[in-house]
Amino acid sequence: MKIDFILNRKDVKVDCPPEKRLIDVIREDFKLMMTKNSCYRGECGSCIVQIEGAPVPACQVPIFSIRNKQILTIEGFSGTEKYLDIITAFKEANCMPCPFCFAGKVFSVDSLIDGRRSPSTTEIMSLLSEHPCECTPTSRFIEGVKIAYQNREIRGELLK
Amino acid sequence: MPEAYKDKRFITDYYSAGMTVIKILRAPVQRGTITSVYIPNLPEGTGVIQYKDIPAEKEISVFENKIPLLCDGNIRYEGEPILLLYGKDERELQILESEIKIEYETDYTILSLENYSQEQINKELNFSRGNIDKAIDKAETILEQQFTTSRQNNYDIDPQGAAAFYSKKKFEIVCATQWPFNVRDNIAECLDIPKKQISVNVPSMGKNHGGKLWYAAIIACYTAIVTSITKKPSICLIPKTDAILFTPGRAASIINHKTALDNEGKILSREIEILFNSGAYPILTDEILNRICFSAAGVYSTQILRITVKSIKTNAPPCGSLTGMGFYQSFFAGEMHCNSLAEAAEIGPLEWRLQNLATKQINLPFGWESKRPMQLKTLLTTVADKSDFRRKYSSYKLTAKKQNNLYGKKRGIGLALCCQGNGFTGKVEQNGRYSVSVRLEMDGSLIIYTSAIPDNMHTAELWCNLAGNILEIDSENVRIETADTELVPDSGPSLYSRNITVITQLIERCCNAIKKSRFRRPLPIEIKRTYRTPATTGWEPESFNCKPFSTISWGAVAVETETDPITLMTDIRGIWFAADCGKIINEETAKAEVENEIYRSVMNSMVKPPVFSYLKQNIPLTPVKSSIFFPVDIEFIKSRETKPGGIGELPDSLIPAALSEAISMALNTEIKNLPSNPKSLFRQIEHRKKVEAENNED
Ligand code: FES
Ligand code: FES
Repeated sequence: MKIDFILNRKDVKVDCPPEKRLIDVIREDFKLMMTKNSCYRGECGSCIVQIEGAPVPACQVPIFSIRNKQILTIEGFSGTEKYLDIITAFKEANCMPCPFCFAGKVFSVDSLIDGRRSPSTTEIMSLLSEHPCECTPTSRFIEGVKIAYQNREIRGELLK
Repeated sequence: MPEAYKDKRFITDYYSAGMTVIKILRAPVQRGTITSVYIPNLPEGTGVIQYKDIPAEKEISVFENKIPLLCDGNIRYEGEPILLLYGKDERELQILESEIKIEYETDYTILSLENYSQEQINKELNFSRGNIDKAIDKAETILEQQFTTSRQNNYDIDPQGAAAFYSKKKFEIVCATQWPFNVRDNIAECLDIPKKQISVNVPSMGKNHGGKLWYAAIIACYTAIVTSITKKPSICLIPKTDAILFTPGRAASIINHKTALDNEGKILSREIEILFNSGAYPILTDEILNRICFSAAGVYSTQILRITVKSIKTNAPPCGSLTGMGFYQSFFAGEMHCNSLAEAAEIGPLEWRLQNLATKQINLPFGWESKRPMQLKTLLTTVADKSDFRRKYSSYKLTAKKQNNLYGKKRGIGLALCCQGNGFTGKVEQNGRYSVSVRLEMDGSLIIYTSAIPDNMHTAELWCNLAGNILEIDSENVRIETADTELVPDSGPSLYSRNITVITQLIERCCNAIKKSRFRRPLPIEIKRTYRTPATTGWEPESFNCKPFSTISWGAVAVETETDPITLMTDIRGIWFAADCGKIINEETAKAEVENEIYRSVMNSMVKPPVFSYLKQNIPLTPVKSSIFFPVDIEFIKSRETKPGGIGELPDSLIPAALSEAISMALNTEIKNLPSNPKSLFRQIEHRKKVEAENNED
């Protein structure tokens, strides 16, 4: 089955079985390896991409369902101002995620700080429970997310 | 995206179209025999491997234990690998799997430890010192209690798997492992080829707790067998559910304590029996028995002592190497028992501990002469003072006794004290000649060659900083080479804080040697150092009077909780942790490590154990961290030990007991099982009510 969609702001086409998972298409057909695959059950958060601006685990998305949609992977997101809000905050709080959970955590945090108020500790903890991780201290991660929100707020992103 | 991340390849990143994919077919019964196997006509490029097809050695070795690569016809646990299918992709293998017919004859199964038979005892360790009967005669109080801990599955964030490549008569194996040389040696045996024809590379890995210690060698052997047949690259990736169920978990245990106290509440004697469920194939048994024996009686002065530890074979998946193995079960039961002893002696738990603490190492149950003073009292009073333990304990105890109503959350506070043996017990370190080498290049950069896999990015950072400091090199110019068994020396398995103790020491020794000859010898200079256990170290469990580890770390914790008496859900109000763990190289990193482990331990102590059923596949992929936030206070007290010690395993030995004690106090009950989730709490409360009712009737 041939499917057209927009990947990292470029029009692309793929020819594969309709039920092939988006995560496998991204990694195998487009060699975008920074989005990781692990549980294939939508539970570990390592395969998150943005579909039409919302974070979605790509292992739960059959390729036929994304015809003409906008997909953004971490490779396409990196370098943007929104991305920098998060990365500079992670560096400041010393909680840079490892390469395995990097994409998932960045997209999840991006959506959490896109609201109109600073995320609460409970909201951050609930985000963290969706990204099982044993290497980032919880207190630092909470701080990192709060700084990321401030960065975005300072940039006036929220007012746009 | 951080530039360095672009080169980081995890095992799943090694898959590419054209590789042969391997799928494991597992046993659907817990115990039985395979009576027939029907294999359909196989399309080209696909194949099936059974036990009889394994070219040479059909078992992998892990020190003194062995475990078969595939089932030999007798099924010993549900999910045991029966055969391997290989082909071009997952879809093809699924079709093939549906056409294969395997018939079984089932047999009765033994999953639990209760009512075990003599034949199930795989190994036993006994220790006895002093006259127990005399002590019992003199005793004012005798307390007998039983504790149980459930099996705890291993959870790794990154996938488990291996890939094999073949060219120029050599096998290149990429394997997510904590012990690359064990992988190499087992493949050599399995294919009956010289070790030099195999190189093992380790891809990027997440934090691991032992799940990739020996299990990785099995997966790597699968890929090596398939590639030796097809001469094509092959890959075997373990689905997450299988990884959780079958990578070695923490063994379930039953622990019986019988303690005699004098009229002041001081210990006269202790009898401890520990049974642990090693599953169908006991692995690392000697090490586990030693560790349990060492930690069984805790850190209290005990002269008259009897300890029996038994490893019991059942039809559960093999257990073994999970971090803290042995210490976790011992300290949970031991510390909970201490609380009951304090209660029986009508003394507060803090005071009872202070009164019974070993003040010198020679007074410890496993005592030995040491010049280093014990700081257990300081540890205990540090967490007690910081948590305001005395006041909270009295106030919560009073409230708990008065409360008959179910309104409002109930608070509790618990204490625990423990130690952690760093590295393996003497013999493993003595028998293996484990090394590290360090090379100072002409351009001034430094390379550390070791097969030890840093547990996390912090360990790697720590090694680079340490080497950089000694040689006055910017840590950015220090690189760790763990990649290939052909390039790096065998540094042994990465477990039980060996990375912090053994490997860090070796790196330090190499760097100090380079420092001495740096301006006298031309560059590059490469120095190799091999670990030798200190002369004082030796472990003879039978005599029980020796030092089994090169260093020991000590820890104490106070945990304050708030439990809803209706839902039995618990919130943590605060955790206060103190440790004496030798030289701290980077305090910030050490604190981060402890905080992580505390969160993980809280989660493990309170979550439901996964239901084990391979067929039903009904296990949740439990998140490692709980979604509750709580403040954690960590203090490292000034240590007189000059060597660095491990800290990562202390929370696992401390939190379950302190947390359970706090919940016990809040609910005015006695918790004797782990985990302390609402369902198990409900069962324990109901059981207690029943016992009380029966006693009242009598
Ligand atoms: S692979 Fe785990 S959520 Fe998709
Ligand atoms: S930082 Fe990636 S799993 Fe923990």
